[in-house]
Amino acid sequence: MMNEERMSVFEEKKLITGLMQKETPGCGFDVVLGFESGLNERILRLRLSGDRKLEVNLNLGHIGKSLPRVRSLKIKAYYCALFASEYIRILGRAKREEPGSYFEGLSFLDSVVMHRSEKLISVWSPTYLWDRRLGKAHVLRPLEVSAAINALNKIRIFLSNELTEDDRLAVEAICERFISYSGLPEVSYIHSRVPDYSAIDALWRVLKLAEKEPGIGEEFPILSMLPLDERTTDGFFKRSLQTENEFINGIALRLVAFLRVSPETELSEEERERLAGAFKKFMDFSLSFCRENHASVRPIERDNLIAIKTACRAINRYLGENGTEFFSGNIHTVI
Amino acid sequence: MEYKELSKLNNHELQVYRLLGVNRFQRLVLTIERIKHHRVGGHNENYHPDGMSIFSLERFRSFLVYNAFLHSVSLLFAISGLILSAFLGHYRVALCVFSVLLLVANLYCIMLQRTNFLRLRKRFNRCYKRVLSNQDVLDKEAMRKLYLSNPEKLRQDFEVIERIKRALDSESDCFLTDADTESLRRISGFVSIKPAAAGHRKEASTEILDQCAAARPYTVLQKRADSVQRLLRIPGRTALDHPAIITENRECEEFYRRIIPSDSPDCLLTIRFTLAEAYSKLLEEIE
Repeated sequence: MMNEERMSVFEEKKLITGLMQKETPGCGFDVVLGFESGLNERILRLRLSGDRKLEVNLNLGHIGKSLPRVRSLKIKAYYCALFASEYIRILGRAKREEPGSYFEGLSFLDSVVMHRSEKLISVWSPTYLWDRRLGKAHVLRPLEVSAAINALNKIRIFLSNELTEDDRLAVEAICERFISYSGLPEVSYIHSRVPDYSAIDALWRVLKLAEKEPGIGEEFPILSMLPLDERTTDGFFKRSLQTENEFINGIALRLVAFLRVSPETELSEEERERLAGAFKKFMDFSLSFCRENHASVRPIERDNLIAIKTACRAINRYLGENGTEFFSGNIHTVI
Repeated sequence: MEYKELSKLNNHELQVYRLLGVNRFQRLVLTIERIKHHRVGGHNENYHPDGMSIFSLERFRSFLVYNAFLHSVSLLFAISGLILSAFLGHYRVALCVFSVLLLVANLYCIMLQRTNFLRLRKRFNRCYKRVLSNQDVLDKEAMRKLYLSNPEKLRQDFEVIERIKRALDSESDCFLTDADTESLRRISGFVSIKPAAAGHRKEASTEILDQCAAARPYTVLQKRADSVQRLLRIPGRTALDHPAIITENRECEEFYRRIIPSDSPDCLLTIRFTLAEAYSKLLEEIE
């Protein structure tokens, strides 16, 4: 590639180790950093052993491919190190904090599932996968996108003097696409060629975990917020609207959107208002997402659009059956 | 979306298929399907439409194309198997019998897809006729009165109707913005469509774990059917088409709701045919 400065493997390792030493303290894990050099597409591999020990294997072979359209190899190496650190930090935060937003909540739910995985876990960078057709090998969830957004933002803020104009524009363009997805993270891919609904899939995995380990709710603050003992969709939906929280109310909305909630479920005035609030926010994001991505050819954006349109249809139908009038901009899907 | 009666040839074709026993073959296939899913329940996704609304049936056509495509490929294999065995000179009875069986089975499968395709067209036509017969949803006199004196307004409104029509035909999404509010207000003055009664929902498990496990934006088979239809450039709604009419603000939504009170297929088809036809006729008349 033109203008791409060369870096030796030693330099790459030095840069990554230095950066990760600075970024990971206080993340809640004892990180053991290792390197691998493969031609495969993953950015890193993780293994959690015990409560604190986290082995991280960063793939040096991926550095060159990590940020498409960015020329500087140094920035790419920074990105990989920052992505790994942010990923680890989110895993750690899921054990200590409650989510501040719906998107953060989803990445925390993904983190809970990761915490309970005893296998060696491969991680793919969304920057690499975004423009590609995803295969059975890949995983792309809010957790990965969240880590990528944080890493790219850090590059934009702290490494602005090392970015050329072209690189800056490329980083900004990628970041904006991820931020647009983070407003409505409706699909995720987990070892499948077809997408899953991210909220529903994460919820399903967490419910299965809770069935196996009833005490898991006390370990993660996010799980203590969810009514994990509820077995029916209607019950889960109603209880999710009883607290004022963006994430929990967002989950309630996705139950209406992607599962079957009975319109006869009785809601109090307050619960109704919370649902309407969640829908209003959802609709605002949906309208702008549709405007920006209606002609997108990227598989993820196209699938997200399908999920949004499906959701709008189901929610409109639910509100119609419930007798709730909703007058704002709207999406009427023809299915 | 097409509105074309079955031709005489099509009707004869259907009769020939019936005489050849395609209906019996269909029953056999469905019996095999039931046996296949005997233990776990469920059904082959590409054998049944997911609803009886016109849009679901149109999407199901995608599966018919996909099935026919797969059986055509298989048919080619059977024919080449037959040719190969004859040319090699080693006339192997087993290979020949197998190829003939494969050939006949695939021929019947293709005939079955074609039969279902024509039956669906018949059903569509019945539905379109019903919609087209419902002419009293439009106040044509008032339309005429306004537009004959203001052809420019007619052109503007026709353009909005055309965009909605394109969305209903799955060509593109339709964005109704601030600039269209006036047109929507005018159109809403001429239309009075009754909202359709809410359809009966399918009974489903209320267990959250069961529902979560089954929820997906689309399936692998739908994706394949969509790809095959696009590859073969067959017009019509594909399995993954999700066109939408997007109202960008409150006013647009209010007027849109006055024109199309519910997103039911009947309401949408009325707009697609009755309204679009009335506007294009009026425009022709004026021009």
